Amino acid sequence: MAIVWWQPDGEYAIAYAGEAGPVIERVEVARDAGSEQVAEAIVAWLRVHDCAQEPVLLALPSTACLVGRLPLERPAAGRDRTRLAFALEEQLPLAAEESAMGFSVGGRQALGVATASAGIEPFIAALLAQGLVVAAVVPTALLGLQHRLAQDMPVPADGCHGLLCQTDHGLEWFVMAAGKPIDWRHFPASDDATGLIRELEFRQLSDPPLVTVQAWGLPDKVLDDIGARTGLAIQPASPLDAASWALGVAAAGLELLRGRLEPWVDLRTGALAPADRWSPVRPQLRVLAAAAAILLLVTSAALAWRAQQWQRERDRLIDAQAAVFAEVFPQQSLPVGVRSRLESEVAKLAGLTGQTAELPSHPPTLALLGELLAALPTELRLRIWELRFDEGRLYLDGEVRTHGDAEAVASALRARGFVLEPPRTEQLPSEGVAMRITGAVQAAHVAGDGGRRR
Amino acid sequence: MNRVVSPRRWTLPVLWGGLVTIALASGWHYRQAVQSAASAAANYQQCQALAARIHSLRDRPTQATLVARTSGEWAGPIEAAAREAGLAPAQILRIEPQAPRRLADTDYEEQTAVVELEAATIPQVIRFLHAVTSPAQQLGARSLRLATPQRAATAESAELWTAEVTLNSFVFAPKMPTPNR
Repeated sequence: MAIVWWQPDGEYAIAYAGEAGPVIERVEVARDAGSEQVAEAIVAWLRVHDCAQEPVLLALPSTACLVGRLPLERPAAGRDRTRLAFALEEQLPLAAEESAMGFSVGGRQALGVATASAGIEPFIAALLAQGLVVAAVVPTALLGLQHRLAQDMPVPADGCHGLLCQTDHGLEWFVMAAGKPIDWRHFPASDDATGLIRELEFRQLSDPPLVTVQAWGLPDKVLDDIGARTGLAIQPASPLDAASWALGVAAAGLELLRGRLEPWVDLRTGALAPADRWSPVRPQLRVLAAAAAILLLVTSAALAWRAQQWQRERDRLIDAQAAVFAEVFPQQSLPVGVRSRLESEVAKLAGLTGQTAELPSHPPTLALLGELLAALPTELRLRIWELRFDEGRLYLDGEVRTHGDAEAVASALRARGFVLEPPRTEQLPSEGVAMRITGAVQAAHVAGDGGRRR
Repeated sequence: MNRVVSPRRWTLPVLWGGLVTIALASGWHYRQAVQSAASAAANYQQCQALAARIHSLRDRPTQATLVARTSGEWAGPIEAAAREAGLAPAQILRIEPQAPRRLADTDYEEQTAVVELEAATIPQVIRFLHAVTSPAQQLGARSLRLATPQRAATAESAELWTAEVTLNSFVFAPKMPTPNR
């Protein structure tokens, strides 16, 4: 990354990050060289220093910048860049379409900075044609001031504060509010401080008033003279020479390119806006896109590989199902639905073997007959006319000698588990007693058939 | 004037679209494969359990048949049982098969046949019942009626009985689902 000082008069300089800090070198270009030749010379220089693949920052001289003070009704109005642009356009001899504008908002004041696009646009286009990426276009003075304030002397956030900076191109006058420049004037280098004094006097009449005024690089005699004529108490700050000012500009520019510093004003807007707003991070985007593409490809390949493994596992399980089927039905060919075929077979076998609750059970008649015969008392004289087991019921018609014998027969049967009603008896005309014994077969008899349900 | 669109303008979107499509297709394919394998594993487990159940059921005695007996199929086992019980064919007075009937709301039908034996002794009746209800015949004795031929039988003929046995068998006949109309 590098800083390119653009000078309409042909004085081009380039700064890059050296091992011990920023290094500034002058690029020799013919005064009558066109934008293309200048761009070629700069790119050639950058290639030599291995910086041609990185974004560059274009530093504009103060003489190429036009400024305007923009009072704001409320601080939030500073976010409306369109309205600020219209307000600034009214103060400038330039149409908004022919310029690039940037704004620095501090409280209820804003500083508008503009540059004519006609002068610098061909140069930027030539740099782009050479493959360079122009990340930002920033006034040199504001870059230098930003660096000085960060290094030497932060300005209090409350109130307005004046700053005077003597550079090798002239005198810069800034008014700061809320940590941002809200006014900026450039005075060409000359022994005559009339313009500056007039500006300061005007400033004294403006609102809000200056709280402090500090100066860098101005001789004490000059400060005393200005103080005497304006009534301002100017405090001299640390000494500043042209070389250290330029190094500060380069350092701030490099920090800006590294993304560690936010420029107060960036004129890579409007007519100077990049056609491709992502051009400053295009190389990183390419790397990101390549990484994403590789990630997608690797993920796809991994998924395909794992899917193939799962398919193999599925095939193995299907073969195992076929083996199970062949074991159960050795003579049958493999059906389409192995599981449903086995389920069907289970349902059929469960039905045939009575493993369902639906199959009704009947008392085991043969066992009941055996029980009954074994239960009949042998000491009584008994004749059976009819014996019937039906639907869990016992019917016994017979003949005994006395009514009591009938009860004895019933008691003997009860002792074997038959649940009987009291026997009905009737004296026969000839001799003997007719009896009828009815009752139910006990549950034990029903279940005592070795599990058979008939 | 027709606007000419550079082919390069479409190269990147097409490439990215292709990549994303490949990734999505791979993901879908992977998901399908996983689901398919999980389904196969579940099926395999169920098949193993079903096979074990089939082996277990095959070892159990059957309680029903798959097809109903024809009238001719009743006579065979009955006559064989009668022979085994020492009964003469003439002592089988009648064999009266009934039509199968569905048992309530079950998957079974019950077939019955009334068999009347004449002049059989109790031991013969017992042997007959034992033979006719052996597991091989898949028949049961649902009811039994024993009666002396006459109430005024003599002491010598009292041991001879008329036996009326209702034999039954079950047919496993699952109900077919009624089609919706």
